Amino acid sequence: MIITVQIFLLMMVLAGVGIILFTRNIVHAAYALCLTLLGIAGVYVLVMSELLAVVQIMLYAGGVVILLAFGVMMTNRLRGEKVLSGSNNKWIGRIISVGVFAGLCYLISISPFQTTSVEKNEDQIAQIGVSFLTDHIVAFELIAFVLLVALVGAAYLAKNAADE
Amino acid sequence: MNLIDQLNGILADLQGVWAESALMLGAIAVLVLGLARSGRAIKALFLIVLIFACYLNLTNGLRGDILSGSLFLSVHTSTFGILFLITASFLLLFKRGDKHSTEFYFFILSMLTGSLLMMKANSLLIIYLSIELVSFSSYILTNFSFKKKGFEASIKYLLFGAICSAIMLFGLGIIYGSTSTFLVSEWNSETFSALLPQVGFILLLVGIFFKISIAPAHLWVPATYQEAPADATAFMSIVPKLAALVLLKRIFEGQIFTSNHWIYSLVLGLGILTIVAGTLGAFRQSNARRMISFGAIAHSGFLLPLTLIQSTTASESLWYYSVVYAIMNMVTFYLLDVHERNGIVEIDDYKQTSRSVWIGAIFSLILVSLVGLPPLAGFTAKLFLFTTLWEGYSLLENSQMLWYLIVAVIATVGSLFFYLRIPRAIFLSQSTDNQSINLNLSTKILATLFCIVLLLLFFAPQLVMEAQQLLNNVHE
Repeated sequence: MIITVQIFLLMMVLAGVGIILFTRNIVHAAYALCLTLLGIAGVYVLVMSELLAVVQIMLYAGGVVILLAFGVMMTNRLRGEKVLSGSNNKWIGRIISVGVFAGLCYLISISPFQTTSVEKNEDQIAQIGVSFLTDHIVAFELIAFVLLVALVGAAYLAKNAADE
Repeated sequence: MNLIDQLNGILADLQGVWAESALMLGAIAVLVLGLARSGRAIKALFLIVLIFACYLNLTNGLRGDILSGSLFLSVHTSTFGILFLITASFLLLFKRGDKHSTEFYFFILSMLTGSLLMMKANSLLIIYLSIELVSFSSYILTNFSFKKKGFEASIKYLLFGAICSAIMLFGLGIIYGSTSTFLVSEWNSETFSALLPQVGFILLLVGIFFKISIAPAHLWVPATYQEAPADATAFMSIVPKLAALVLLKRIFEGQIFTSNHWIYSLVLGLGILTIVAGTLGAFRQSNARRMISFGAIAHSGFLLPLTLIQSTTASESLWYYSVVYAIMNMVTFYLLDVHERNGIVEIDDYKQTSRSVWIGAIFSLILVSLVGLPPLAGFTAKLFLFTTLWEGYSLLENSQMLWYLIVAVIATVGSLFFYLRIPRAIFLSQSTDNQSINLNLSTKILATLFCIVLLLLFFAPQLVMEAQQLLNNVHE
């Protein structure tokens, strides 16, 4: 049973990645990204981290991809034509990326990763919440500030671009 | 440990981050005040926030790991913190119109917060987040001229930075996967014995080198430094760079690599490459600010080995070089800004300024200090650097240090030829359309004061070391 689910998720992720790699239409790429992210959310469920799975669906599949699709559509309207992505230096790019991929696969296969056994944990979300506000309090507050800076920056640039 | 104990621990450790908290709150206060006022009031608030943060930083007596290992405080973080805050206060000397002042100071404060946290970072999470905070602010400040060229430079910087931070994030993932710890303080000589964590470490260095502008991650520097407003450039060329260097020093302090390890050699090799790239790049420039920016790249290469060698000499040299570098860069960009306001942008344009002898002489002295010639503090900084490299060579018996020393000496001599193009244009050219540039008295006095400080630090370098001791002991 579980092996079927694993194969299904793997196919989902790979199909998404394949479409992103080979399509030139950015809207299609955005929807394919959604497929990949949902597949990864499934992987999180399989390793019993529900919170990550929920966050993955809500923030990435639900938020980031929608934002991307909106961005592409807005750009479409401005130019009045389809947004197509071009590519340069195709062969160098292919060689480098296949090389990096193969090298990392080899390295990961020979190296011992630190692993723990998958356990069912009832109050996982509560634990993560507590550790956000105790062990990782600095990171938590810092993320809030980073987001504020990004927001102010985006609004300010957009406003001044509109003025001119 | 129960929750109450944990919360009490956090409360006790909060003292270590008061300065950063004050800067964050100050940034938000600047933004709110900007709704009602502009100009002077914003500047006044900016100064008050800086002074307050300085006070909080000085009175903080905590050292070591705090907040469950998220941050690590040391002599360096506290003294460099003061240096950054003082550097930020010098931005008020630049002429800045009211139009974008609120957001400008907001982003400067956020970059300052990021830099302070970056050098204190002990957890991989904090390293990543603080570098991002600094980068976001820098991308936006680069575009503060709101012209096409500034936008272009900003987008290039953004794309380059996004790739570097993605690479770094991947490296952090690999390091965490193979060590199962977030904390830099738990690394030891065993941590990076396998190949995979070593690769992760290299990827982490990409992100840090991007901030220090070590080759090949230096490509964004010329366009960014040329197009950003002069005060933002002055700040960007000093504070984030020094913060990333302090972070690098902290990482290498854990003795995670021996001096004959290939990563150690790689980092030294990249440092040499940076000096060469910066020096050779500067020769071909016709724009004054672009030339200075290549000089700043070379200075990153000079500063890098001071973080790798573990000795008292190296720490003292790093502190001295940083202080002098901050002063020199601040005043160089200040004078470049003054000249640019008079339409003097290219090096050849400086031929028109031969009538303003006083400011020309001061500018020449500052550039001589950037080269590293006596009788200015730039010379002493270079001397300390060469001493440290020689000491590193004889103690570690690492022949690469000797090569580093040789390249650094040659580059120092070579930098004479490009830095002195500006004085040559001012004093040795026969230009017909001489015009006196429009300078007020305060500019002259300020530039002269900076120059006197550089002279003073040449004759009494121990002042800088004593200042470090003093700043470190104020809280007692």
